Amino acid sequence: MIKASHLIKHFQQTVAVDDISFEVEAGKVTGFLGPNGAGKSTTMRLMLGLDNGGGATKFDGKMLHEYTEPSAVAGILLEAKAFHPTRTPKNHLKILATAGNIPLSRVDESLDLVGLSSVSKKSPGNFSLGMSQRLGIAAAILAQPKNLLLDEPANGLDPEGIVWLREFIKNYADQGNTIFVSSHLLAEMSQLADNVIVIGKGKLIASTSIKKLVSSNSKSSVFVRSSELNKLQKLLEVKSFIVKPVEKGLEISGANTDEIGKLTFDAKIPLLELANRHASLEEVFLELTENTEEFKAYQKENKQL
Amino acid sequence: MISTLKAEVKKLLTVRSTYIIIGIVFILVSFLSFYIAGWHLKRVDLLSPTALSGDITFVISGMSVFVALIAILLLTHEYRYNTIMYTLTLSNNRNKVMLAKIIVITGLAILFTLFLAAYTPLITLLGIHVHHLHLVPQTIHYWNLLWRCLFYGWGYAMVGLVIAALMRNQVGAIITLFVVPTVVEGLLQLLLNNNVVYLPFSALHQVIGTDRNFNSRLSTFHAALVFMGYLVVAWIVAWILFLRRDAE
Repeated sequence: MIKASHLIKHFQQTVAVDDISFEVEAGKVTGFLGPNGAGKSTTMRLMLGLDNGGGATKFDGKMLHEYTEPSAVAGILLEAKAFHPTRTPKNHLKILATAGNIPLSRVDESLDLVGLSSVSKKSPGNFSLGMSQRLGIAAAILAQPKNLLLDEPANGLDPEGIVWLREFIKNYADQGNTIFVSSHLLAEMSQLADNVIVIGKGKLIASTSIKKLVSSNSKSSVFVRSSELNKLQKLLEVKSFIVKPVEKGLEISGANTDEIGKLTFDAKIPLLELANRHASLEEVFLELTENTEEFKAYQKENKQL
Repeated sequence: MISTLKAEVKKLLTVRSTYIIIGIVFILVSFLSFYIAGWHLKRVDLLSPTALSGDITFVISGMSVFVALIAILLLTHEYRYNTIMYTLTLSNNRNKVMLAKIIVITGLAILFTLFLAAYTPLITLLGIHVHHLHLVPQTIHYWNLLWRCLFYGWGYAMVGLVIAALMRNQVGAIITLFVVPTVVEGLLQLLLNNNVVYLPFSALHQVIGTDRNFNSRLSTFHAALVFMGYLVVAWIVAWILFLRRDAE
């Protein structure tokens, strides 16, 4: 379990991380979301003591530097290309294993696991982003740590690699380990993460489970299809529901299927379809971070650029 | 601490640049000692009882910059390729990391200097012998020569490492290493006149005896003290920055 308390980081006048506190549960995958420049990487670096700032992060009750063998506590992947371009992957991992008092047998095991055995003695200078990510993942899991902090681990991975990573992360969490993973791939995150922490402009926006986040979002609605759509729409409007006609049906905001079902039953309006429609994680994310984007593409309304 | 030390040794031995630099030194020293200091030795030098001592100090003073270069690469590679994040998270103390780097570079500088001190006279004598020349019996004050050579080699390596720790930028650190002792101290000589002996590299050169014939010289011991003063101050600043700065 990871507990971050009051993390603060200033870059001169800019507040990059603004008094953030959260917990990352053991045995679960926690996604870390935020727009570009939100402070995700800085937060992770603060948690690991790589950046100097305010606050404290405890890994299973202790700060990382309080452990005799930090390698067994936290495995990290903060940047894909964090290796010397002429040092072979095997030597790169051997150095990490030596520094972390990790058995050297883990080097080959880790390379095997990420599928880099065949290039273990080649210079990684020309590795693709995907191969570099795999080497980074091998480094992160080298000591089989209790906590994994991964910054955009799926970047550059091919579809097979993404599926492998997803399965690996889920299995690793199922063994009781703590996984904290940032990603811009929201569809991927919705499949992978149990919990999610959202930040924007250095501030904590949400820290909850994905289910709760999505279901409690204002964009959650009920979709209804009926052979008497006009009658149904009038009824719902009379009952003060916000109704929006959509293709082949109606979308009712802020309602649930139980009350709509009961209402239509009482009014004897036949229903062909009644379903909850939750916003996607992407919609929720965009709504939550609407005013916190540091870098936003300029859009001209109704004008061709 | 032992694991950090071992990892630093592996870092040194698993990059191509270490071998390229040592190879260049080997070729240069072989050429300089065999051909220039041996084969082509002037008659007046053949009659000098300190020819070999002079040869050793000349070679070590010229080649120590390469150990400093290796020291710079050992530290700046970490920042350039961002492996510093692994180094610092695998250790529970930044002091250990820096201390390990100092110990490893100290060991390398000592080995490097001892190798040059032994290899240089052998190759020089070979050059003289192959050219059928005869060198007069040599007077070598072994211990005096040894400590001066070791101090110089170690000192230069530490300068390289401290520049790297202060700047962290690889290109900047290498330029500084080459520009400060030549251009900067050369220009300061115009301003400081005889006081130039108190500048760090001038003091270091006086330790090994390859200074530029200043009108006033410090004793070897005092020159070593002056150099150490600069080194200690630079290391205090570099160490504090290493502990406090973001690792990027």
